[in-house]
Amino acid sequence: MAKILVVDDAAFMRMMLKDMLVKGGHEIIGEAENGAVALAKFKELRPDLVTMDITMPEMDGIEAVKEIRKVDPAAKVVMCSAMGQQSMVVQAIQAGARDFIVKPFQGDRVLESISKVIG
Amino acid sequence: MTDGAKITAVLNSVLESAATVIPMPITPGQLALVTAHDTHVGYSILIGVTGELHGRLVLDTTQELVSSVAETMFGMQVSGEMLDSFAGEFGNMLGGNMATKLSERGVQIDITPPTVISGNARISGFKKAFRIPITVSDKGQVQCYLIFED
Repeated sequence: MAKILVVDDAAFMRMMLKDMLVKGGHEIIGEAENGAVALAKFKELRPDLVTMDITMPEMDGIEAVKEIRKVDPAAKVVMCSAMGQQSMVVQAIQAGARDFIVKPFQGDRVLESISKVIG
Repeated sequence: MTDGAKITAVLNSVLESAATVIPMPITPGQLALVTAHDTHVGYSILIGVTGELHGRLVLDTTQELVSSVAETMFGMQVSGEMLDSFAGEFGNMLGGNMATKLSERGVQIDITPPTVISGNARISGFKKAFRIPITVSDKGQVQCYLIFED
């Protein structure tokens, strides 16, 4: 079981992700609607893992991963984005993300990724 | 790549994206070139496009169709603010998948967060746009407007 921070600008997707993760036995300790809020929540809550959208207002997911990794170089972040092109995946991994899930996704795929990253 | 080739790539990518994202059978309709006078939209999602192409993708549809997609995709009925939130995400998924398909054709774009428009509006500030209707099973239509600035 992991303590997870869910980051997505769409309240609907946060709700769906929380539902999928809780059913998979994980605990949701916080949520954020953009990268800037995610960074603040990460510092405050120190989650085991962060699920991170990319296209968000204020601060996008790629920038947020970079900032989070400055705070904790071992931070575990899984990207959950509709932008699945190779260049975006490479950018996310270079920024420090551990895995990349393309929307629309199935609950099984999300849980599989989190198990892999948590180890 | 010529502008014409880029536009063809965008149109094909939008249709492939719709087939990937919408969990129901879809049927594309006739492509039309329209002006601002022809762009009266109802419940719509607007996505900005940046990168190698500059413009907007507008998805004109109905709350009923968006609700059907949410129910088929996630097995739950949504309404009110949560429906608007899903509508934005639906636009994000369509735009994001379109960006992925376009990159496979050698055109790199990025998209902006979605804006959901409730009620009736007319889109202006451009000369011409492409409109392609996509019929979704027996649930209704999504009118896709592709507006290029250049």
